[in-house]
Amino acid sequence: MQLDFHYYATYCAAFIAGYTHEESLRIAYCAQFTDCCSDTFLRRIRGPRQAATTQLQAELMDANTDPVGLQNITRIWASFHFLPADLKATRDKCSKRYLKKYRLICGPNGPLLADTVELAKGKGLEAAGLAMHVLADTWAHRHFAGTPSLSVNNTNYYFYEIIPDGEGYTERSVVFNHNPSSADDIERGLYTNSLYQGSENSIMNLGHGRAGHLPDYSFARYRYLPAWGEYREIIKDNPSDYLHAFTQMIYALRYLRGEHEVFETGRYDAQEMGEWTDEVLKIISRRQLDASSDWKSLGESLSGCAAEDFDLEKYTGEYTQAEDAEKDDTVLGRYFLAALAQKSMVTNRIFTSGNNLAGESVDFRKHGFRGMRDFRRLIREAAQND
Amino acid sequence: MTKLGRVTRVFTGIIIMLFAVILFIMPPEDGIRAIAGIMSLMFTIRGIQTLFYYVSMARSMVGGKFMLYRGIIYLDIGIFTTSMTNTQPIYVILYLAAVHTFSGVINLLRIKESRSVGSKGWRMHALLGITNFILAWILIAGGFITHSLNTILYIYAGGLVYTAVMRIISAFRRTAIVYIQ
Amino acid sequence: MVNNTERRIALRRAENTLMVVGLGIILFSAWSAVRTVGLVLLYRTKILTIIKKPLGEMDDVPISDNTLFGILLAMVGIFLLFTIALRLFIGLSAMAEARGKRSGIFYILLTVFLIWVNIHFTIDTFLKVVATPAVDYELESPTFAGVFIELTSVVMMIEMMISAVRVRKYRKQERQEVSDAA
Repeated sequence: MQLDFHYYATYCAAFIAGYTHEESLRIAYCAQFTDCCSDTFLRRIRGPRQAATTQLQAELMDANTDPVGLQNITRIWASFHFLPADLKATRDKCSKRYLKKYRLICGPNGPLLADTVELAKGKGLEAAGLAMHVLADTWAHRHFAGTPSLSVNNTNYYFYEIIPDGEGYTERSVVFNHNPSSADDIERGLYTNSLYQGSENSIMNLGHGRAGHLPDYSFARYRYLPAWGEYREIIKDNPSDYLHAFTQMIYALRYLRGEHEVFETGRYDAQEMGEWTDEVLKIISRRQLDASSDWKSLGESLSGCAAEDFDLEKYTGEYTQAEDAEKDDTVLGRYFLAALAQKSMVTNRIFTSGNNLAGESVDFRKHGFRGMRDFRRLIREAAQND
Repeated sequence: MTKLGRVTRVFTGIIIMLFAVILFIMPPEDGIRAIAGIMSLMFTIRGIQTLFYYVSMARSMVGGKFMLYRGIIYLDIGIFTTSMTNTQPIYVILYLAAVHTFSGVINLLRIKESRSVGSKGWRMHALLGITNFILAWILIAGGFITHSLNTILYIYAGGLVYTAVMRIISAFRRTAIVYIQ
Repeated sequence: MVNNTERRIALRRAENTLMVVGLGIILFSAWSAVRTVGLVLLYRTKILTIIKKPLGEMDDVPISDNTLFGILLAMVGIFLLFTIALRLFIGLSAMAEARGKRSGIFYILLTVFLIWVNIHFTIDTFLKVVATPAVDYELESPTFAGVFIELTSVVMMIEMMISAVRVRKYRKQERQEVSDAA
């Protein structure tokens, strides 16, 4: 997903869920910030580098794809953008090596989603925003894995866009080019994707790169053969998925506010949209590369307040000027704690399922502290809460 | 870059340097045979790796059979290259020139890719690409102008030393990252 | 709208195999051509010796080695162009059929012919190498390695034929079903 949904749509969902205008802006900021919190950014503000929730293209180009480098990449992408749906998935006639990657395929309503939302409970608006980003991406990025893998994430010539045509639909073969500076052309069906690389662990085979930006367009419907699908085609219906994401965010945010006792996967608070349902459906279905202005208008209609545009630097001053001991109490500080907790939780789940693709996870209670010192913050926070 | 990555780069740089030294001191015909032998081994290993990848991963993938055929082609290139160890050196040199030209082309494509995303790594790709093209040109032109196998070998070995030094230097570089908003 | 019936999945698998194998045949033919030219260049002296044996008896026809080699290279080149063109036609037809375009049966018949030729050549070479141990293997070792790639080529063409037949069968069944439903 991109800024239009992660920022503006999340703002709308938060307001509908009962948050105030200011609270909704904070949640939306943190949801979008998950796509901006890179190692580069953290170095600049001297933040904890293990709290990185994304990797810029430039960072990925220079990233090492040895086993340790791959684990670092997988930890980030699987924790925040491609949350695995089923870590115990089975498949006939495949090697153990293949099965490990297969089990990292992202999908909605998995056990990890419930863990993600519950982890954010009582942790503030920043954690809520992070959780909403992860939740939304489980819908958009489903069927792809957050680890470089040709054999799981590849696509081929069998790729057709399904376009509404009056009462029915027409199909058009998608033509991909590999020039990242050229904009996608909706009218002619020309889209950019990552270059085919025959190497299993190439960065080009990370996530949905081989499907280009299509998963991030709410209007897109397309038919393709996923590399893992054994020649079963999948129809990705983004309007339906984005609507599910939106209504599930409302449900999750109401849970985080305390209006629901428990968070259950597969539940959606569609009725909360009320009179705004048609408008939401219209925005999601409109064929446009960027729906920001539409979502922004909706948000302003909902709240009656001006929804400010996303500004990455909004809270960096507060963070950089705070004393070391007080940094964790700033907006970004709380966000970093939430990111570390999310990364730690997902890595742990993946590791304990017998999969080492995201690296190792050590039980602090049994073995004491091991590993990257940025995670000591979590222990301090846990001690404070006790 | 991880420590393992750096150690690997330094190690391969040293191996290339040793190989260059061997080329300097060996009789030219033996040096050419050694080059052909190692190229053959590299392709054969690549072929076996690709076939192993097919068996362990790609056979579960849509269109994975392509990896099987790719592995077989690499294997055949490796076997074919062994036939060059007992033949006239000029053909080995032309073959190596073709390999370096191809590598140079790949480096050019990587420059384009790196620049388009704002990575500063394009400079290293440019350097490696230019080195590959120069080596290829030296090998071809040397055969027609100097007609001296020794000269060709010394120039080629010199190029290898340069490549090895650049590889070792790159192991210690800090990855420069440009902030993209 | 999703069609994941057993037959449709099998059809997609066959179409994909046809596409991959079609491409493989084209790449193999290109590599075989490069390898053949490479072998002719590498074993120039040996090949000239073999060719000149009968010519040596004809004292009235003095041909320089370079001219002879040039003629040989030209003949090999023409032969290779022909075989590449043949395999290109087969590969492209297979790929077109995989994408749903109707290709005639001619490319399949051509494939049968090529399979027969390749098997014949492979057996012939294999018997020559195995049955005549006194032969100098310096020329035979790459030929022996070439047997391996020719065998692979045969397997690919057989696989291509099977996939082409399956694709036609499944498509016919689907058309039949559609017309029966209508």
